[in-house]
Amino acid sequence: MTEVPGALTRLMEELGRLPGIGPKTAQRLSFYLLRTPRDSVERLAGALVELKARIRFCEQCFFIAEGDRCAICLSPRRDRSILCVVEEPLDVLAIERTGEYHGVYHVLQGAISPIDGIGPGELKIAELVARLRREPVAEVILATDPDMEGEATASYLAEQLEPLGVRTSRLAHGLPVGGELEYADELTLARAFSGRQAF
Amino acid sequence: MFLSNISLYDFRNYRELNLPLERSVTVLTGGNAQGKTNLVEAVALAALARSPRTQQTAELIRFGQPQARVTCLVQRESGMEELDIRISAGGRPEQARTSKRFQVNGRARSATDMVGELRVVLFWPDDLQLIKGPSELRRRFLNTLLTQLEREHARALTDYQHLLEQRNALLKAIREGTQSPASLDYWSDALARVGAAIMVERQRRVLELQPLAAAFHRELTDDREHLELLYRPSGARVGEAPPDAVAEQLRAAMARSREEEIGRGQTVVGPQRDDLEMRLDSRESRLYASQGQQRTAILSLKLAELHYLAEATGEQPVLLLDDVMSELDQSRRERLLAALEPGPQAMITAADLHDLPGSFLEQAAIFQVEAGRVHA
Repeated sequence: MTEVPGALTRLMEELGRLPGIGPKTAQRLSFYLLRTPRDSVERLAGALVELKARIRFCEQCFFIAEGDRCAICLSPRRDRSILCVVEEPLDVLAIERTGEYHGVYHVLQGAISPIDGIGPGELKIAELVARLRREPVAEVILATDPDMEGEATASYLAEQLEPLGVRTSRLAHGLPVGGELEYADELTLARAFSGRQAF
Repeated sequence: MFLSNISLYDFRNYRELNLPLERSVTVLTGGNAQGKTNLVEAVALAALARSPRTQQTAELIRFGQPQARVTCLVQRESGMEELDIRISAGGRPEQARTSKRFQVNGRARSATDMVGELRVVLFWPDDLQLIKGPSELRRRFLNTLLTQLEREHARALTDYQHLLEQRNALLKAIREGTQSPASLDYWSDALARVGAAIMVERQRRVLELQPLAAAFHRELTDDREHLELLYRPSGARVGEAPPDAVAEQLRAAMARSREEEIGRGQTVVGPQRDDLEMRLDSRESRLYASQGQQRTAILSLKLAELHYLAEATGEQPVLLLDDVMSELDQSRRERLLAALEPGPQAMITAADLHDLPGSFLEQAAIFQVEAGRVHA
């Protein structure tokens, strides 16, 4: 078998570790980079190094930040009396895109999932409780995913937050906007019915 | 409903098959390992969204091929439906992960939402273990029947399985000291809620199935034996209790078995431990019935399943009889075939056509199956 140079093998191995990238794709990307001009490869490498050097998690809400605190926690325009709890930083970006929410966040960095070895201790729950003791928050919105792990996490949180006397709410389940009723799955439809509102 | 056409592509030993079917009885004959059972399996797969024969989905794809496809045309009162299943081998050989994709009339469906579009009753040699065999076979009997009746039940079973895996993982982690028991109550609670819904449904359906099974059994034994079906739930008394009350009992049973559950790293109560008891003249048939009595009781149960599905849905299911004719004696065979007139569409496999009465064969479409090919 032909020997592949070490530098190329190493790159293929590293790329192959990334989520969604298999050996075939890793190989294709590596050879693509091989043909790419030096300066654009250096820009990519620079971006990777900069990512780790400059981006970390906000010490208060665990969203992504360039300093100790994230842009949302630092913003004077955010309403600090309302706090939205989500599983991942990507969830914050999704809610931000709606432009509907002006409160602050708390990113748990996952959901309770024993199969993956994740219990309450692996999540930023103690930090959330400490934060709520420290800060005058009037309402906590539990916006974990509507799957079983997200529901388990939300019920666990609801109980942990109860003694703090803060109002908690859960995002509504319902029909997707722009969708057709007849194509909604039965569970979504059933939940949309039980959660119906006065018109 | 009836199945008017089945086509296979790289499924098991079939390279390509397009088989139009009669509304009545189709008999598939031929030697062993030629593909008779594979064809029956393909129909069951389209109906149940999983093979009743294997959990290794990769086995369904013809050797060395990337993808298998099964397409069934189903004629229903509401119109024609095309059910399409594609099974793909994993992209990476070392992972050997396969995926199944389902479509109804060209629109993607989840496995759960596929079940019930085509309803089948399958009777094959595995079923002869229904009484003596492990309780898992009897739960599978209930699951197959109930999921075809109510999609919500299929969803509940899927959810239950997922919750059960999470809770068992947590119990093991607690035993090994790697997780705190803090979130156990939430998993127990969710499991009890879904489990209770499953149990209430099982109880209701078994009560409705019971008189049919008893009637068939009386007929088959010329009034000599009484067959009784009893649902045996694990960890709760169901009876006429509402789901909330059953869930409460399950929660209490889990709380009582907490030490045992942590010790074993497993949930010890709930629908995954249920059983269906069959009694002949008030004696447990698993322990006391002769082999002949058991076969008659199983035949009664299968006939009850067929009639119940038709009654409860208002549509005749498709009957799949794979290789059971040779397992039944002549009088039981005749009783079974008698149930087909004027009855449902049926697909019957038999290695030996002599296992079927001549008068019956005259009215059936007979096909020879040979090395993954079907001809008249």
